[in-house]
Amino acid sequence: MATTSTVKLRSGDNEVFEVEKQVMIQSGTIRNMIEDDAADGEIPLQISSRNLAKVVEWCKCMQHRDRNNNNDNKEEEEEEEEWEKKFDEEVSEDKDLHFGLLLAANYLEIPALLHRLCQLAADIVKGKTPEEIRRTFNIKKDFTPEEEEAVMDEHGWAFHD
Amino acid sequence: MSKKIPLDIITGIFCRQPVKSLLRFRCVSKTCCSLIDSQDFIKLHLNHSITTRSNRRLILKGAHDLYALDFDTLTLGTGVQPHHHPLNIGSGTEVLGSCNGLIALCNSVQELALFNPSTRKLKTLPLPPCLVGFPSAFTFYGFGQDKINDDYKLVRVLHFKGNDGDDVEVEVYSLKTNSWRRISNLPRFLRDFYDYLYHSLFRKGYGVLAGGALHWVSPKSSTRSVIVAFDLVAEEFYQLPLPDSVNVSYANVHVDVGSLEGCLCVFRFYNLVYVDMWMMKEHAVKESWTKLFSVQEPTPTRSFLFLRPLGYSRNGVKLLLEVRREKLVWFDLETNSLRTVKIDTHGLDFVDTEICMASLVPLSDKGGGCGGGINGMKRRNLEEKEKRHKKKRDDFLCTGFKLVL
Repeated sequence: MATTSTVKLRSGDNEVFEVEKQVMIQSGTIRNMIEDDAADGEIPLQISSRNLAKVVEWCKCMQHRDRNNNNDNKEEEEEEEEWEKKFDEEVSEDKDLHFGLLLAANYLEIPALLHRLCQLAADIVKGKTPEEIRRTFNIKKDFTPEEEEAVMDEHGWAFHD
Repeated sequence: MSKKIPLDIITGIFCRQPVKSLLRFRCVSKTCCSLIDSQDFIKLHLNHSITTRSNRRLILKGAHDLYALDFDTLTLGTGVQPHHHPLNIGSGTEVLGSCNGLIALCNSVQELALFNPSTRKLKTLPLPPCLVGFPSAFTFYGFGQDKINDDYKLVRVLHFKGNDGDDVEVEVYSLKTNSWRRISNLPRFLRDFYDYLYHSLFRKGYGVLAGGALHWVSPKSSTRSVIVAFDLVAEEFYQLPLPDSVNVSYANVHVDVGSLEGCLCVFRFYNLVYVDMWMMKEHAVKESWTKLFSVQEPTPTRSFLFLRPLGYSRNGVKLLLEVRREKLVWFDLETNSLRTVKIDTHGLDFVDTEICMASLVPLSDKGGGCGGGINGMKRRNLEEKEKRHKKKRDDFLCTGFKLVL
């Protein structure tokens, strides 16, 4: 029996996405499943349909770009750049989407997407204070005030402009 | 957002941060602090900066102080900032070399130090053993990393007139052991190593760091110039061949070495107006010498004798060169053209440039990544406090237990 050329991904909220295998092999996790013949049924993922749709869209765009890499089609190139710019903007403005995608890219092992999202997050947090970082990443402060002061004192100048 | 972000992702975001942000983020939590202080993270951050050509600075030496300039904003005409370093005595601090975010500073033989400008940590070096008894010695320095032992080393070569003519002494300082070691069994070729140019105005003879070794060009008095290299791991000298076409000894040809993104480069200057540059793509492999470019000075002021490569632009199309220790020039590799960089130096005449990564590389392995002496002391205090806390808690639990009984 010929194996199908698509793979079915089921989101956490039970939406099924049927995507070409060629597109999804960008994900290390799914590539492994395909290679192990474990991708014939539906693959259940703990990723919301909104985030999964975005991941799939990103993978499609990247695969399209890689396939056309040798073509000198200026128009398509500009279109892709425009799409990436819009993707960056959308993600940077929506923290839930941004973090949801970070977790999804991490889980699905899509290095290129993970790097891009990390870079976007890095640009956002660059100038922030420790308190803002705690809020952004939902990190608990576990220093006592004395401990915090001692760590701060080591590089006191870094807290001023 | 209620979900916890895994440490892997935080690491991915943090390794793309400038050092100053990371020094602040150490206060976020104990986990963040130990992440940022860990050797693995420090290396990851440095490697990310190197591969993406980010977090680069130029350290410019002026007549009175050192100045720092962001590599990427060079062209925007950003003014240089005085670089307050603890060794400043108001004049003439030399930068002997730069490696992984550390620079070696020198006021005099008695005052040598390693400095991380990004964390502002300083390590003053102990006195080298060969301090007296060599009154007419010429001294060359070189600074770099011993990758195998994860150590940083400062090399000091003393060239002097001994009883049997020219003689040399070599000493190596190791950051790990915080001590100097005299190198014995020096090869004979080292005696011919001195070049008058090393003490001229333009070229100080500091070893050029590439491929885990320091390099100098031996003078061209002999028919074949060679490169003298010092292996920072084995602490041994050896010779490297120049590209075949460089092995000429015309009076108007001069050869010098430089380093570009970790690769050894050779310049051949002809009539002070033409320059050819080769790069040794694979260290110590003669066949890997590759010619990068040939260029003629646009307005022939015969200044093309002292030229050093500093770094590529982020997109790799342009190469920043220091010319005659007085100006910076972009060389465009696509158009083969040169353009002087206009920097708002506030009237500063800089005389020397060093490229320096901004990194967290520590100068002490006590007390974590950024730790200096003070840091270590604080950490010990913290540990003491923690112990006291724990004891209090244990005492409390003991009491509680007794109460229940």
